[in-house]
Amino acid sequence: MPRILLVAQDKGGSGKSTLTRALAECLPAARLIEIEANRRLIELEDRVSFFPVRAERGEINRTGGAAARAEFDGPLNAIAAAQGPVIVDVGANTAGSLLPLIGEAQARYARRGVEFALLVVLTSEPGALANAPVLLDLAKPFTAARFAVENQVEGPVDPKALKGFTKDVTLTQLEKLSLDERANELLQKGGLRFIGEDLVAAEDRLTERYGFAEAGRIVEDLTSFRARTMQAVSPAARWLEG
Amino acid sequence: MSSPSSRGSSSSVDARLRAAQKAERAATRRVQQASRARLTEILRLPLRERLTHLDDPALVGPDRVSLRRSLQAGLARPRSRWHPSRRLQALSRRLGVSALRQLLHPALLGLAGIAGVWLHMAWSNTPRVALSTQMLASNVVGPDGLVQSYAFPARSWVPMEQLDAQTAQVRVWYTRQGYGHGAVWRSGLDLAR
Repeated sequence: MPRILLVAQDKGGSGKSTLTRALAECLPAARLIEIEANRRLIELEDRVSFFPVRAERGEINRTGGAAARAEFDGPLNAIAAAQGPVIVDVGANTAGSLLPLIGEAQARYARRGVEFALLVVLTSEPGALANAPVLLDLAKPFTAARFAVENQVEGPVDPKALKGFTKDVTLTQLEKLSLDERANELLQKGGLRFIGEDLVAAEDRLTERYGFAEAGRIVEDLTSFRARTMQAVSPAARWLEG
Repeated sequence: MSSPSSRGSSSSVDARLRAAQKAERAATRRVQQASRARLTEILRLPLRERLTHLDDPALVGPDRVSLRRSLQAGLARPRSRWHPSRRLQALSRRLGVSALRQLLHPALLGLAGIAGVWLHMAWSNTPRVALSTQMLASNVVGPDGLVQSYAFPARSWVPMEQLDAQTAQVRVWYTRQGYGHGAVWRSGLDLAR
């Protein structure tokens, strides 16, 4: 039975793509759908089906959502065709339009045996904090499970705000990690896949380039970052695995 | 969408997670080992050279602390065994301040003033003494106003109230009556003593 995990947050820069990458690392068998203005999950190569959207809030408002609806035909079809676990990275300003469309088509998806879950990314940024419960409510009618990851990249979220989440939302934390400057560059270039598959082999080159000590720190920072992001998304990954 | 790739043994989420955590621990261990080796090298260096390694990028936090402590221990001035401890110094300082405050109390200052006047009077009324070189005879006016003849034996101490060019004014104690006053020749006194 195909399981679809939607990763959503309408506020940009909240860490959706990072958590999507962590999910992909947890479950190498899963395929990915990227709904974004620009392709980001490049390092995952042919595991990803990319669907560009012009997700400008102004345009969506002007057309009463019609512009967005037409653009979602591709990803909606891809979800319907899924035969195994799929991670859907829903780009910024897109989830608010996409989730109702999936909700409307839920009965048809159910006939095909498709199950949905939602993972919302939370940060202490007010826009992201306000958007998270909206998305969780939108997804409630058609999702089998709902997850939230508190990304502490901009500091911990006010505990009072977290209390508002209902008991059926599984909440995990991703603490803020300070990365070595060069480690961050490598993370941006190669993503988590590079860390998981190629970092050990690359350590000698890093040592030649930056010296033994710094290369060690880079490897430590990156492996730590990968492990912790994977830990943060692990409940959702287990659901996806079935 | 095409079907996902076949699942291998590594596709289990928990197995992947454990592997990631193991890799994290291994990387941390390698950095710590490298840091410890570097610290061992640095600690073998002389003190001044060790100072230049305070910001050595190979050292992790705890090893950096160890290096700093080794420098603190090396740079600390040796203390004499007899030198009072800081607590003792502080205590004596506190006691000194307290004693000074008590000494400046008005009552104590008044008493000191009275004692000073008394000492001055006592000192002024204490006559000088000189040794008589021979028996010295004198007409002494006693406390009752009567003049009596008095002789100072040779080699006796003569209390002088005043020393003039030829004579010395002397005094004689009469029990329960007071002093009598007279004069003797200066030449009969050994004033060098």
